[in-house]
Amino acid sequence: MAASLAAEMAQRAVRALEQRGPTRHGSGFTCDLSPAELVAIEAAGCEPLELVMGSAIWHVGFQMLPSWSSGGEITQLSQAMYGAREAAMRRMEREAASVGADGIVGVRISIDFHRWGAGLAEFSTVGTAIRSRSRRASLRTPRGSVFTSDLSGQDLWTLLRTGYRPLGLVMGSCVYISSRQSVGAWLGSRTRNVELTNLTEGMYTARELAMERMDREARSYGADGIVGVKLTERAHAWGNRVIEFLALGTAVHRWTDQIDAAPPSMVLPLDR
Amino acid sequence: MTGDPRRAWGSTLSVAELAAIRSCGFRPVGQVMGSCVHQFWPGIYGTGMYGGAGIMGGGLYGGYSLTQELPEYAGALRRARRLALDRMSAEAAGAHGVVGVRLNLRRVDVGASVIEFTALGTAVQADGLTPEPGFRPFLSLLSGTDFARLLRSGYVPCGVVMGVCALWVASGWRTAMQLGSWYGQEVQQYSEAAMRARDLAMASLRRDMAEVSADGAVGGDVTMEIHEWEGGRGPEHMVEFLSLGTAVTRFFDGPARDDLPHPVIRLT
Repeated sequence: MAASLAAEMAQRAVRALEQRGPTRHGSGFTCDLSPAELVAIEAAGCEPLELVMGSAIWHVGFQMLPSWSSGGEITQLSQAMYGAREAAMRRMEREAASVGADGIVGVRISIDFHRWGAGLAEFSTVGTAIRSRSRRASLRTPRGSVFTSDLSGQDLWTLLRTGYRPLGLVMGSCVYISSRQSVGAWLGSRTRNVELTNLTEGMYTARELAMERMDREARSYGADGIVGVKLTERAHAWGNRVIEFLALGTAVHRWTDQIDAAPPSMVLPLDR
Repeated sequence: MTGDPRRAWGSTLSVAELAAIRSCGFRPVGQVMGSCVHQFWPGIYGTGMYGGAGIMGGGLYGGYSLTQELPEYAGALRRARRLALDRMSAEAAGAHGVVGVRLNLRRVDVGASVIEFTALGTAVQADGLTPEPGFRPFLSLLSGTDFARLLRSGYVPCGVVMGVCALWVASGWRTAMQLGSWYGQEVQQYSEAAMRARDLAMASLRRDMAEVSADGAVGGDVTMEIHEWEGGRGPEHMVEFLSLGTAVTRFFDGPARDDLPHPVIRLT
């Protein structure tokens, strides 16, 4: 930008600040987007509406554990972890729908097992509700509901130009307690270099279950695929034998075969 | 601060930020700062806000059977923030705005509930323009590069906005039963309190936005803290919800077609 053009931009901005009139209370958007995300979302033909959130505080119950030596899924915990996240997500979606949004971007799901006290888990979700500027190009899902995704503004822009649309944030959870070895097996193997096959199998199964549940959710949306799957393993507050495997990603569907994009150009950044 | 051409300017800007600001016709005129140490007097709620050892933990709150706001606490946060920012604005008199404001909240002394807000930023001025007398400089929490991104897409920052709410959470007999249960279930009273604290905080953010005639707020940083202590009849909670953002005003309708972002593949 030439120097005079730059100065003109600055002067326009300052004059706008001097001359602006009062706005109505409650008008305007709120978001937790960075300016770069805001630019990307506007370039994608959308506008931010409101920062939306959902919370669910859960009392995690008690369950008879699977038999001491065999290990296995703790179904009650799996269901609680899934149900609580689902409740927080639904509240956030309701809020977005009530402001007329097409969808929610940049969704973050967090869990806290400490701050409300022992035995209580807090699930919260936060994201920015957005809407397409043109009513004809609504980004709502084919069923007419609000889409959710953990994609950034830039990701949304890129995804749309590649011919896909986000449908929903899909997840699968499996809380698993690993088995203990029998005393005989332990005595037999502890001084040898061996694979602990029952542990391998247990972990393997738990991961599979989490991903399978996520896939099932995506299929129920009618998705063509899932992008950005993250598989996390956390021992929340149950000691190190009990682990939650969580699979999380954004289900997408193809809506056009046209790829509306100039091929990306390559840049060599000069910063470190 | 007048941007005296004979004096060198100080700034916290990086070179990239400086280049970005210059590309939009702004130049730095100096570093500005404001701070405020504020005491929070909780009134009848007690003084041992966090420890549970004071009046609050000892049972004077007992009359509360309903979840309710603690306006003194939120008020102290709002007032300290306002004073720190006003002092920084006063230092920036003669400039058009302050970018890259770093707003820090520090709890100086937890027991006595003393908080300190400090604001530090770089004052900027538009090329070829002197501010009219009485012009209130705009404040922005965004970096210099983010400032340039915003300007090029048609927004100019117009102030720092804050939403805050402190809520005392009531626990009824139903909650007590749920907490003692063997079954996993939602504790509705707590969920509702968290959602309500959020609603009230966002409403106060909206009031701040209306005050500076904003068309929107970006970069809203949202934090929720829960303070828990042992009360006379079981655990007590206070939910503190804080969100900070930069209010923006639209000054032209988006970039021209050839100024739209284009995709790149980074080679590093």
